[in-house]
Amino acid sequence: MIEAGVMAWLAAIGYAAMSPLWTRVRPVGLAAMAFPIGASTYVLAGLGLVLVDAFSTLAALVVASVAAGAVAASFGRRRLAEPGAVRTVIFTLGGVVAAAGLLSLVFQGVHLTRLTVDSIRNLLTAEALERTGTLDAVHRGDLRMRQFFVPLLHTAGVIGGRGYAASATPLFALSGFVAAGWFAWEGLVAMATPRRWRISLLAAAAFLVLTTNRIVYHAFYVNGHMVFAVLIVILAGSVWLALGRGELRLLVPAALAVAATPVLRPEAVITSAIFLIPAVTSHRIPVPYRWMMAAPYLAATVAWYGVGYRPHAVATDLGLTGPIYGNLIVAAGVAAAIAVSALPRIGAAAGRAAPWLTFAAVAFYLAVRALEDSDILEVALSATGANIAFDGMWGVFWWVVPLFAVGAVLVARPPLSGIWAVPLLTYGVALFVFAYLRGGGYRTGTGDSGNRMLVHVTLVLVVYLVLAAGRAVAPSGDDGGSG
Amino acid sequence: MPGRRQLLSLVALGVLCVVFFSVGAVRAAWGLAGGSFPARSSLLLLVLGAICLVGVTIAASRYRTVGGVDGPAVGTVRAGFAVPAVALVVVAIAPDVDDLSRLGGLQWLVLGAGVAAGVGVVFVPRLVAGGAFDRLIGGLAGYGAILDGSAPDGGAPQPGRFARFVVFGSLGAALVNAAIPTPLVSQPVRPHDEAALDHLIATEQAHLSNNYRLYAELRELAAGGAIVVPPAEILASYTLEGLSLLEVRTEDYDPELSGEVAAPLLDGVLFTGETETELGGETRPYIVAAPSGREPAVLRLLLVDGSVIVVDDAEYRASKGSG
Repeated sequence: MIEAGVMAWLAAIGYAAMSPLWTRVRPVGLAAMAFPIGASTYVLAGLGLVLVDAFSTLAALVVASVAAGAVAASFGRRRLAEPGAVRTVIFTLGGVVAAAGLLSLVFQGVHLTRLTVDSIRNLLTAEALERTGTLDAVHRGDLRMRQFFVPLLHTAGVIGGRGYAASATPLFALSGFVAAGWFAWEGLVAMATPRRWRISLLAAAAFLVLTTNRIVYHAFYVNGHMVFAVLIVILAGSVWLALGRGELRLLVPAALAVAATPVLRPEAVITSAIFLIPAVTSHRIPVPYRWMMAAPYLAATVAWYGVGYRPHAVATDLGLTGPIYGNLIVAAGVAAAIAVSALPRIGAAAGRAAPWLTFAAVAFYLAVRALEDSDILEVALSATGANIAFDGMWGVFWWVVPLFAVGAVLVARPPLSGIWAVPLLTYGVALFVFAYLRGGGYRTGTGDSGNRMLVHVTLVLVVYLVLAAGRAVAPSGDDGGSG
Repeated sequence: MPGRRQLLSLVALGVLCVVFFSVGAVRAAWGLAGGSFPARSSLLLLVLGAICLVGVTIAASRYRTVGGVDGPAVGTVRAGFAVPAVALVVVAIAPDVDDLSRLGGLQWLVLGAGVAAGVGVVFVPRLVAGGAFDRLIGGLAGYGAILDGSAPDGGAPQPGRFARFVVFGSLGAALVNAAIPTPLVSQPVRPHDEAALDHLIATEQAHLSNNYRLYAELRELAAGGAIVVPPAEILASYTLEGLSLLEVRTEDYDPELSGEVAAPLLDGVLFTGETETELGGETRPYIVAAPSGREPAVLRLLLVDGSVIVVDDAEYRASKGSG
């Protein structure tokens, strides 16, 4: 019951944190994003407490609740003043909390959890954090490789006596699936895609996702890959809807989703930057909003890598491409991109070029490292090829999706497709940069890091393809140039 | 006629794509056969070929969808030339940049292609070609034409075709996925045994405690000049006939500290010895974790009821059926 209570509480926090959106978007969208956003807010609170050696699950929940409550008091009050809003908000909030709690109980009962040694290491970190409140008791290697987003998700299981939260990852996955479907549906509606096509495309995508072994596996696997996939799809989807509708309030979930990723995985600062840059350099967003959107991510990166992680680092973490300076440099790059895109004369052009410059920077870094040492790239390419073909247990997911993607580029790109397509392309290159940053190529097998990291972009990729196909059958949808 | 010069650019980009792929493949094959060409540049050529392919598809789609490449696409096409041009030059000379006289024949070829591509950035868009390129470009964009049913020379598109391709392609893939015998799809997932989980966590915690004890000992050694580094990387885990099999590398995964301790990781495999390593210009003794009589290497460990058994390589291979 403790775990179910915590999960419901997190969903309530997320719903409150998104109060600027109350009554502005469909309840199903807010409901889908509530748990991941609540978890992200909770982890941000946890980061603050970890920095002062005072972490506990309860304290983090209280801090996150106060923060989300303050947002709700400030923004939600205006929303509630609208006719019928109180009833809508109460019913949605009640539904979100009840659903999160009940689903948590279901997932605990059904118990499909998958655990590996990596999971156990995360759980040991959770246990150490809950027991001591500080990072001192956490193994340095674990802290470096696995960070503490996932452990914080599972401290509810620690205080509940089970050792792990069986429902945390499944709730993330379910939220992400629904949120991805909601983004796609809203996009298809906005493009005036006929209803029968909307239903057909979403149903086909759902079948594809739910029959792909690795995606389902990660929905029950105690680790951070599905968590990251969900946060990234919320980031990209919210930004896309915000820009398309001119509804800048939708940047709130995007900002909160990306904010806690710096403590999720060692390479997460880079991946998040890849998906964040097209948004925060877009001329469609006023400059102050760009800074507001990036601020939580930048602050979390500086707080963690500039302050919190440093005392626990080993000598080799301090290189330019090590986790500390490497991630701080990336964060500085994001800030610089925003600043340049805000300049009066060159800003608009720089903003348009920023996603492609990011791609070029990543590709250039890979080329330089490959010239230094091609072995890692060769091994990584070979293993990734084997994994996506068969050994990674993706079924035929990666056999068909690239075909769809090429078709999406050739036939019909959705409006603002740069939000989806350029970061996806960049991530495809960055995946091999990560092999260099970790100091070794990938290997063939389901448990390989490269194979796992493919999960991070699956939901974004599927939403993009659905939107592209929907564009093709929308009125005047045969248009490749609108993005 | 609008887009004519860009057509030529597009075709040239396609040619570059073919050049990259073919030269890269030849060099890679040569390298694999023991030839002298460095594999890294061959690999890069293949990557560049893929990048060009992306450029071709983007440019081709713009041509096909707007009836001629418009202004913004010129930049795309030029970038499609410029990036590979620079990269080609770098790739060609980088391995021997200090002595260009050592460049081999294929490297000169690659260098020439790079220079040609660079020239193409400036001149190719200025060249105007005849209507035959319409048909050529139709071939490049043929995949897109197939998907939406339009003729590349401007026939009416059938927009539903791509959407149907996605819908039925996804459903077909889903059927195949469902038919593949994988644990989470075709079989019910087995709930974890709570007792086994508790045992596993307890075992890990015991190992961790043991590590701390051993770390303390190692720190004492470190005071005398040894270096203590984090535990070894677990490379893989398998389940073999119901038994958990871990594959760990006992050397540290940090390249700069490679060969140092790995870890007093698991009972029964710790062996400490001393040798020397160079770190920051200083040579100091360090600790090696490896089973007795072995060099630091990949070990395969069998977890049976929480105890660790070192599986001999020969035994492991036999158990995997590979002799």
